[in-house]
Amino acid sequence: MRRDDAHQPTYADVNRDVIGTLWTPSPAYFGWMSIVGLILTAGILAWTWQIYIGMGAAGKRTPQNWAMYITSFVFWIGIGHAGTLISAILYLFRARWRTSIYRGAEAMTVFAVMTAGLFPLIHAGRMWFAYWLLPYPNQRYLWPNFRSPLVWDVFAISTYLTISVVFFSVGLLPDIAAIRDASTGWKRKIYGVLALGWEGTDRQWRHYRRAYGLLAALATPLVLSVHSVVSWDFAMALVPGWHSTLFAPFFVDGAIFSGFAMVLVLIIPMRPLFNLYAYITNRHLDAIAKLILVTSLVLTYFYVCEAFTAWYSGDHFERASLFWKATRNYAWAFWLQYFCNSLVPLVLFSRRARIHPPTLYVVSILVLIGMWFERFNIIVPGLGHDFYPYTWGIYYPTLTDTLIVIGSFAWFFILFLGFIKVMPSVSIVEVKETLPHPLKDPHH
Amino acid sequence: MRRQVGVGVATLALFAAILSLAHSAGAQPAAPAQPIAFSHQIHAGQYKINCQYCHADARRSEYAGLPSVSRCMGCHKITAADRPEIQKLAAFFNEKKPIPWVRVFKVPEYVHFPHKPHVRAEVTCQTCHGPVETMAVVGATTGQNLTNDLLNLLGLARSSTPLTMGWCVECHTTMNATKQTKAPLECVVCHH
Amino acid sequence: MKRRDFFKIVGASTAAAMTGCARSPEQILPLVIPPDNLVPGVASWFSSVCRECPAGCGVVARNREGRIVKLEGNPDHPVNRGTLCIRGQAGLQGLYNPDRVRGPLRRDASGAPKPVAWEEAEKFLAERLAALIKDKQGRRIAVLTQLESGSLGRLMDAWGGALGARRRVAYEPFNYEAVRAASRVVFGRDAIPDYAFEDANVVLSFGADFLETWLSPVAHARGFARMHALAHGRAGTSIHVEPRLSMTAANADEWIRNTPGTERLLAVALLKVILDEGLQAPGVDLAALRGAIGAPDVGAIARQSGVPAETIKRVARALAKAKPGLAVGGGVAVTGIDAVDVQVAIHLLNYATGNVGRTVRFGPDSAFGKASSYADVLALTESMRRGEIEVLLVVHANPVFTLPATTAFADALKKVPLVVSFANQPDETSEHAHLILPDLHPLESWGDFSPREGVVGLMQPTMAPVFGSRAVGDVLIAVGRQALRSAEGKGPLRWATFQDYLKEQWRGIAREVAPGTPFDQFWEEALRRGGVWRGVPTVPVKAQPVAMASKRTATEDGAQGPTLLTYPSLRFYDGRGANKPWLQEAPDSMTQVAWDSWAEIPAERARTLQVRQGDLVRIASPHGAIELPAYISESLHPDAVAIPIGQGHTRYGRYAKDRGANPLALLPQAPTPGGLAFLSVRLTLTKTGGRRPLAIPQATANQDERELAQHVGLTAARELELRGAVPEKASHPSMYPDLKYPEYRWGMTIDVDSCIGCQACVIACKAENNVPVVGKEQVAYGRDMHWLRIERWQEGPPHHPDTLFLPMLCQHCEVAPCEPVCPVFASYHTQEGLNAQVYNRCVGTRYCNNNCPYHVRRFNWWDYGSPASSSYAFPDPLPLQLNPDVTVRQLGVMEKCTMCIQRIIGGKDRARDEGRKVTDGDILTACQQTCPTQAIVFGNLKDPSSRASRVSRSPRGYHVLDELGTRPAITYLKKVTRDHGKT
Repeated sequence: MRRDDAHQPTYADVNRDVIGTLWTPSPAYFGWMSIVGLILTAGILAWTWQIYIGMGAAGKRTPQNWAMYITSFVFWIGIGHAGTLISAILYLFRARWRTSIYRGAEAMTVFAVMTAGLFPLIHAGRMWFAYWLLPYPNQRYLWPNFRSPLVWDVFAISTYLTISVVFFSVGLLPDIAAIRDASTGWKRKIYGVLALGWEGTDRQWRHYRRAYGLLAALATPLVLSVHSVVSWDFAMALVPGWHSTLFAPFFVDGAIFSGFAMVLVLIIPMRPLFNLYAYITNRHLDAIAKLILVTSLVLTYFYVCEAFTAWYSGDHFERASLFWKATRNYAWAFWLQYFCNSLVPLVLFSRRARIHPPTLYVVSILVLIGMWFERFNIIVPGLGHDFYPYTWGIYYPTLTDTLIVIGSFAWFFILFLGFIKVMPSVSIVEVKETLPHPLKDPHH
Repeated sequence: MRRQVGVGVATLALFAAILSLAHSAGAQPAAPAQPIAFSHQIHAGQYKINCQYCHADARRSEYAGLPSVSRCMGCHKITAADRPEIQKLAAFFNEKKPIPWVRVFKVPEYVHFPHKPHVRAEVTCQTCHGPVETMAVVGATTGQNLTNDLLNLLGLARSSTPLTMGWCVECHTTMNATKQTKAPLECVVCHH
Repeated sequence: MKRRDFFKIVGASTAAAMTGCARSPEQILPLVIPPDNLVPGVASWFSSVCRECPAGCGVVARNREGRIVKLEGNPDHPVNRGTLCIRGQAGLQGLYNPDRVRGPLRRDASGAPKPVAWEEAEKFLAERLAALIKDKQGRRIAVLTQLESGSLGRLMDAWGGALGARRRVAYEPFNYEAVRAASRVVFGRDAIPDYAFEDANVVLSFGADFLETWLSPVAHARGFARMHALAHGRAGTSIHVEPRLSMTAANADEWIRNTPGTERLLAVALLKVILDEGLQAPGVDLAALRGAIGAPDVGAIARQSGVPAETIKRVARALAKAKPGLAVGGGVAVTGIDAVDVQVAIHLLNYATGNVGRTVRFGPDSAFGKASSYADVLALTESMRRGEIEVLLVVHANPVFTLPATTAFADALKKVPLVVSFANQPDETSEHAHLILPDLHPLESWGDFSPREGVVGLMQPTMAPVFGSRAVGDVLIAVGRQALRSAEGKGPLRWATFQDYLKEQWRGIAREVAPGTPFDQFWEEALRRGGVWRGVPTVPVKAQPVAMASKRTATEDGAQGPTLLTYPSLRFYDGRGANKPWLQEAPDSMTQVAWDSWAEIPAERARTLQVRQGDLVRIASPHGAIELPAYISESLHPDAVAIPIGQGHTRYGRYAKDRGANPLALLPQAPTPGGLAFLSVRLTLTKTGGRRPLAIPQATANQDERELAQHVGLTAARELELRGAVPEKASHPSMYPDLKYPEYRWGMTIDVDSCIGCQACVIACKAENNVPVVGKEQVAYGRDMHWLRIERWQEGPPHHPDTLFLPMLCQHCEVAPCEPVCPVFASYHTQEGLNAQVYNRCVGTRYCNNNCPYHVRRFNWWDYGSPASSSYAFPDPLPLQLNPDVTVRQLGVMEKCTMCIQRIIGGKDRARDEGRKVTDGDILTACQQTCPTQAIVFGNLKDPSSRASRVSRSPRGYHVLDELGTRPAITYLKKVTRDHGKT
């Protein structure tokens, strides 16, 4: 095995290694693509069926008018946080270790937001009228209701998606140019168009740096705002367990937590697959693991707060709801969440675990499961035992909504798998920046 | 150079598309073929028969109502009885069959438009149905269309097409502002 | 049937858009010749009589474009005074039932029914009858009908007489003949008296489900509510003795759970206490009473019945001191072998406490007294079995289903060479008919019905027949004349049509009632009013010396095991309602089970059997066995198993199919002096291992300290009333300015004290607002579409709970949680205080229903309104019932109570025509209109003098979940509880 710290790659190594990830996919890659493609097809078919036959195909009911779709929506939005955090915030703080992972994380952000954005559509009873949520002049003389958190969502998510995509594309420009230069034929033409005439002149670099910095500054507050807005979907409602001022920071922290777990899930296999040991080093794993540990501890603090406020408020509804979640039908999901999010990450106190990829991988997967169930526990059991005892009830997923939720993972992975074969998944330019300048290197 | 030409062609095509949309939105509506070539121009225009003589339910019902075949025959037993179209009418009457008129003005099922309060408020029929007394054949472009919304977006909005919600609301607001009427603006008055 | 065909039939002059917006050109078909009084788009009302049970309530039918879209009670009718019960509201689904027989059918050699022409069918029947008459074999003709206490009954008797047929059997499964027999014994009068609940101060019921099915439930409910309501510091008391917590028991101030079959003993013990303590009314024949009851041992009775001696004494004193009280008894569920003795004892109780003539009135006797006895029905069955019947005409009776299986009526039917059924719905009896001549639905027919002496309701065709049915009267006249070979205008059946016969009968009534009035005028007036009614003087009766055959027990001797308690269902009566999807989908008031049947098993027994709710249990008696899912009950007497009657149909259309079992299969056929003994067998239960989960929309009957349904003690309520104090309403500060209501603010009050849980409003709402029926699975999964539901909450010890019924509908909150969360303003607040829902604007995020603390919003999970959908809720001809003023909702939109916005608009429109503002009575919501106890008041809260305003200021007023600060427009009034029997 190649150990990263042993050998300092050169500029040429970088070009070769990174651009090398792009050409000629292996059979294993095609295998993965077809599996993911099949799952995605099943998900699309399930969605088509749901549109055709009605929302009843998904297992929702009164009182769980929301269930796995909104769970997954919040989950994916959460995933979409780490990317911007890594690339924008760490960029602004000049955290150098970000360079080799930020590209993957950014791609993850864009694709996760694209996945999340599907869920409000999948979820709407009449998705074909979902455009009514957009403010545009129309014959009905009607605007959307700007008091509704769902309209805030529309703005928050579309803004976030736009900024993420722009930030992501701008960051790609010099790399695309590098690929253009390394490729021939029609590929060269396509990358040529995408490179938007990047020549790497001083003037271009000057403008580029300024634009990139500005975009990073623009994206940073969005990291905090988007998930806060999403959390208000719940916090603005009356439902016991939802109506809480805790939700915005709680959600943002959870988002970063799950986002970094997803980053690990994506980059750990990339390392052996594309032989990126030189760029994704143990130092990176360690840093991400530390972040996961910190966010987990913060999250645990929020969990304690949540339970404490429910109890200390003396509010019967809040107490009954919490008690029910912890002890009745969904207790397994409730305790699973605590196990995955509060207990499992504690192993990261050990440095050995932090740089041991298999351990990290298991922890990350458990964290993702835990975070999905955190949202599930807010929505499904939360609604299942609210104010009105008459309608209390249990939600059972159906084949349709299960396939759609699984299909959303397939959608995300198909986008990601596609991306790593057409774009450099490690930033060529920024990695080079971290290396010693070739002019100063006597061997070059 | 080639690039500029391309851009020019695309712009022209877009412009043409918008023009044709605008044209189609304002075009004369297609009138459906009716079983009898009834002319409002003759009845309401030439002979100045009151609308409510035939559409007698408008003042007391949600529906304006169509005249019964026997009401048509009230005049046409004698008047113009030799004309081929009137003979068609007589045939319907003799066979005791209703005339299958094709509906021209229609609002969707979730819209409850009652004629009665509008007649009570002395809104003329032409306000909504257009100058029917000048039409030999009645046709109408009604209801929502995407064209109008797109034109709206481009700032080329004409006033809404008749029988759309915006058009109703516009009239209600104007009447309330200018004539101190109490035309309701609640959604559920029509949508219930 | 297509919409267009329909319009051809009724000839309306414009097409009301009923479903969807078709792309194809829509046609408008004007009338050829318009009728005088029909304006398309404007409703006309026709009065008629509800024939869903023999109570004979008056109805008015709302006709739009030639079709009936809603039934309401006739406000003038003395029986129901404008209100209707759940079955009455659902009458329309008999009219538009998709399984209705569409024309005459004749069974061919293979046994399959084949459509025939009416002429051919009539000729076929007439020839068979003629052959019998020719051979002087008229006795071989038998007529079996339901109770027809009007002209049709008389016509059929005349018809039978003319043909020499047997005496007609007027079969009612529940005919309360024990009451009648007891009246004969005690008062020498063969009648079922009229019970004046409203005049009593204490009502003591021995198992009479008078709020559900017993005699005239709507009238009783009204009387009960008046008797029971707290008014001017006074409130009557209701005591109910029954082993099961029935809906009537749940409404009683004191429910006494007795051992099944001990009603007679208890009544006797009460008499004994009254006589011992000298509490009897003055002038009572003491010797006769003493002789009748003998010397019962109150202590022994207390032990036997499980009712403490103190309770017996207290109840006796309460009843005796009520002046007047009222004792009633003998619901189907407690009709045992000793039923007549029970009724004798109850009559004597009334006599001893001076109620006879005051609250128990002979004179205005009930029509039930005219029904044939069970023994008569058995005699007919026996004749059939012996092959003595050649032709049997069955008119609106379904004995194959409603007689105990042990009577083998179906086998007897097979011995009859020609069975003619006039049923317009296929049923178990018409399944055996060789000829089916579908009668018109009562709403399509001429006719009359007299529910009690002095009241004759008149029926008229409220619309053109939906299908090719013919009135049974017309067919009988035509066939009879053909058989007798007599011409029209001559012979014993000289009338051209039944309508002529009816008019002739009414000429007689006119001569009697209004001698001076010209008949045409009288007739018009009667049609408009819905009949004629006059006061009938109470006939004085005297108790005769009686001796009770007191050795008789209620159940079969020597048997072991729990007693079968089978009772008529509030929703299906004797089973005739089971083909109506509305009734199937309305949850049973007490168990909240929808769409199914069940065996209510006491919790202890269930534990012994290791049976959980929904487990299938085999229930066997010496006479038969059935399988039903278990409903575990904490409150049912441990020695009983209760099963509702009405389900278990095999041939009663799609909605009644596969819905449990018919408990009548467990009963013996032997007649008793009181008719069929429903409470007479003991059961063996075995767990089968199968499961059939019940659809119960109410998750729990425990309010979990949420105080949704509230109550206040009588003493406290009295004090509050005296002080007139308005309770301190918590003020919820808001950063928004208070809402302004320029003209009206609609609101509602619901008196939890008056609500008896009868569910009539639930169906009225469904009918008025085109609410779809969704089926068992969807109801079970919390996807029912009821805009209004009756919740049953229980407090206190599980075996003896206090029940509170709470009608829950959209609260039209002033600060509605659903409104701000809707992203597209589909949910918004109107300027008249309504929380509106715009269906066509809804995109279906369902956020509103999450945020509604009451969960009264209903989402269209499936496409109920589109004929192309597999979930289509309105198979033909059910769409004809749809209210044209209300949109049929589309897939994926939220809907909910609108406070009948279409009625509000209509009411305002009428008021505007008259140039005035809306006042009380202009607008009645559908639920309010039908409520038998008038628990619901709708009105303008902005006007402080409106009834709704006044009631909402009641000191008993409260808002559900008030602490959330939603400021609902619906004010509930706390139930007034009594300490009766609590010490």
